[in-house]
Amino acid sequence: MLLPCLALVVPFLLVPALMTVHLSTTNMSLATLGNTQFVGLDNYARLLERPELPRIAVNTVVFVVPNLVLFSLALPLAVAALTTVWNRSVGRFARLLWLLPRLTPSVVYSLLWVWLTADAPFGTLNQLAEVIGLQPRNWLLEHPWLTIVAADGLIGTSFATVLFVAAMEAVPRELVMAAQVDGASRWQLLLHVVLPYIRWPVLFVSAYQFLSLLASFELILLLTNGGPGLWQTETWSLYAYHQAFSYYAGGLQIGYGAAIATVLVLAGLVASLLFLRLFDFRRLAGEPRLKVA
Amino acid sequence: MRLQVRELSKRFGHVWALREVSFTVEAGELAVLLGPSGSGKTTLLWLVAGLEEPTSGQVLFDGKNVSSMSPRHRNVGMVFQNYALYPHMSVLDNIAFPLRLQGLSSDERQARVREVARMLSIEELLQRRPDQLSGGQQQRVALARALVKRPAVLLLDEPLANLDPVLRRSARDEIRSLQRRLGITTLWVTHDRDEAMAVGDRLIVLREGRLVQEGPPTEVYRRPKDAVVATLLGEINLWPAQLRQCSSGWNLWVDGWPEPIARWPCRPEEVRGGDDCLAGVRPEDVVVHPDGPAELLGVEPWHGATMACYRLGPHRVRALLLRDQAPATASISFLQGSVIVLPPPR
Amino acid sequence: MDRLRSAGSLLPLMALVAITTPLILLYGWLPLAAFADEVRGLRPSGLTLDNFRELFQPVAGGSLAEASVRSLLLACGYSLLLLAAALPAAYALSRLPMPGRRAVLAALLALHAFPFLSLLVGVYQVLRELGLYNSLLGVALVKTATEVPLAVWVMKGFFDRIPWELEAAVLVDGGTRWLAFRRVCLPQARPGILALLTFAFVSGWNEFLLPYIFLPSQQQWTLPLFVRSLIADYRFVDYGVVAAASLVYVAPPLLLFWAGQKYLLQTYALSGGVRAAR
Repeated sequence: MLLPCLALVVPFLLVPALMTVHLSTTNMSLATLGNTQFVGLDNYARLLERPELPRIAVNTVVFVVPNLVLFSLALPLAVAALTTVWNRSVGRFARLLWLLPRLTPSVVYSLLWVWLTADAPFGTLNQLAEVIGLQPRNWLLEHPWLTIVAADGLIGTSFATVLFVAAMEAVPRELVMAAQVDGASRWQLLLHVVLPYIRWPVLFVSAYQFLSLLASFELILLLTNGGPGLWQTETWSLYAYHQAFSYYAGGLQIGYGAAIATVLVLAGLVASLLFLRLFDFRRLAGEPRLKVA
Repeated sequence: MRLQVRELSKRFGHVWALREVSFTVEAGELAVLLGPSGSGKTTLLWLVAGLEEPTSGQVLFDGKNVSSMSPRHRNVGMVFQNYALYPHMSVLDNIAFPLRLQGLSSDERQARVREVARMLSIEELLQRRPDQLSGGQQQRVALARALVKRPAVLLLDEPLANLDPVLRRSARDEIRSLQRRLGITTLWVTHDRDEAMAVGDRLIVLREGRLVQEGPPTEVYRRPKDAVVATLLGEINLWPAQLRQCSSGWNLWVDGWPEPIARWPCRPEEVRGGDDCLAGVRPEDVVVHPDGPAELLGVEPWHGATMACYRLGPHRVRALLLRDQAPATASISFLQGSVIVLPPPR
Repeated sequence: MDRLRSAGSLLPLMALVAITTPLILLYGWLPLAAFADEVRGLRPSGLTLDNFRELFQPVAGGSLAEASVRSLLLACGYSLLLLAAALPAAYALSRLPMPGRRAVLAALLALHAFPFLSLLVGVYQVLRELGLYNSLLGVALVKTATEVPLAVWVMKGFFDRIPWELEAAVLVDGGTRWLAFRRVCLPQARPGILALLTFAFVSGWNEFLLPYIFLPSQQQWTLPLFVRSLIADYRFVDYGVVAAASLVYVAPPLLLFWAGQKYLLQTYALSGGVRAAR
């Protein structure tokens, strides 16, 4: 039963994972192709000495944290609450709209954002700015982080909203009625009954999005590719990608890139373990009742 | 507080759940809403609580129209069929919740919760969580939560339905005596006839959204308005019959029996527009003497007594016998004044 | 929540509109640009179908049609592979007594946490070894491998819910577990399977990174790569054509979702891992 699954996972996930760790201890690059040597922890040492390292670390935090808190938790909770506890009929339309970011291919999505933030007279935001009387500017170039976090954030919001809406709809009817009879206003209902009830989906989204954000670089690649200035929007994962696969960064430093990636993996593993404890893994795994094979 | 319901109707889509229901529950009274599922009892409860707005009609608390008031402002206490305890809060927090929403201080809340907990004997449970409680305990917590805010009216939605049969009796008596002590106007919804008869000061029978009959339980039991109500409240023998006038008044003749079974000086008002009707006699009012035209068909144990089924002429007669032995042949008579006359089935 | 009466006050409604407006601003441009000569911000001028006409002319390096077909192949292939791998595994891990069950489940979760990035080089090597570099099949296999852990956990949640009596009945009637799987569990889990299928198809259709890295030659391009090539040179690009291409690209997933929305929204959120035990 497990065979097809394992047949895929082992060669394409497990082996590459092990390979990467192995590669991180070599000096494989364009220069040394065919002649790679074992260099131990040199790559890691090199990493620590890079002057851009703190910048990259900070960038990663700037990318992950506001994204997680604001766009993966606060905003989707707001949308979910507004469309279930308050406006249910209008809410249905809003919910559909909010599906869009998750469904849109990244290529198109990044294009949409480029257009939104483009210079006047083409960019939508600038068109609005003129109407209100604000200075038009290229939002992407002048405030790259703002744009990136917003763009990537909305995708997370799209994802989380679906889960939160379903969780809120699943609150038992009697509980809602009991709270009403007890004297709760809608806001109090949300705060005291609905939010505590959806603790698990919230936790799940936090864990999942944290890991996801740590490793994602696709959108940043498409929007700014780490620029506009040197290392300005380069996050850890993008840095690893560039080092390993990008010619201009010094010729395919695969070994070095692997080391950078491995650090990320370790961070992810630690985070995963923490989350698993939080989730009470045993309960999730369950036990089969029919012991017949 | 006096609860009045006037011409209350509620429609969901195309379906009428309630139609022009009117009744009054006096302050301190316990009224039982009895009826099969789909009769509109729960809808009525929701309307009194404010969880739904009536399509037409009014709900009055002490004469004041509260029909469009939200539940928050009505000060009702409600115990739901599945108790609806907040799973993430301790028992104490569950009970204190309404007080917390009212803005009472922590000390006041504690004091009131303890008072109610003592009344319901659940003081040791205060620190536990709902999923750690048994069904009976959960019910008492739900009751405590409803009572802690000293509500104007108490609403109970099938409070005994989810309890063990063994527990039901004692729970029933406890709730009843508590209600009497506190003197709270109460609406109790159930589909169990024994419960309804035992508990209520007043019985309100609902069927398909309409109020069929209301009054003190014994009254409704003795003088049901139609065959359905009669059967709802207990076992009853029903036979097609006719009213015929005679020299001293009116006789009730059961089709196929040689003698009339009852006589009244004036025509009974339950039967209108024609003389065809139904005659009803409850098994406990049937008197059985050995030897006679009735033939024993079978017996069945019945709550410690015996239900015997006889054939007399074209009909069957069920009699409740306290003694164990039912005679093989018997002569049947009915206790004076126990014959119920009912309109014919439509 | 369905028992709550409709809220009267305007404030929550305004909040909802305010939050949702950015989305409308963002997406509004797309259809406008595709059907207009020129667009300034959100103001189009001149309605035309020229953009679409230009699209269908062969561009150097493949055409829209070819790229679309390849995207379709990828999406379908990937979805089927995912089902074939995830369903039996999820069933086994959910309902069969297996030694090391928990270990495998934990391992799957841990592997899922691995950022794809860190596997890139390894995957590249493996693909080369197997001769699957620069092939659609290779991309499909890799994508399946990366998504299978989550799929297994989600399907496991669905299988968890199936009453044991149903399988027991099959066994008592003389069947095997495998039969129970095919005849009972699969039909019971149908909503979940359909949801998974839909999401997989959309995911395969939208996939950009993998083809970008592993399909270097233009002949093998899928739709996202094609669209991107239209944008490649910033300055001389005709945004109308790009918008038209994007619209074509975006249409299938949106239509798919519109068709099955009520249904999908329900099942998506029942993803098992979170709500498995009660």
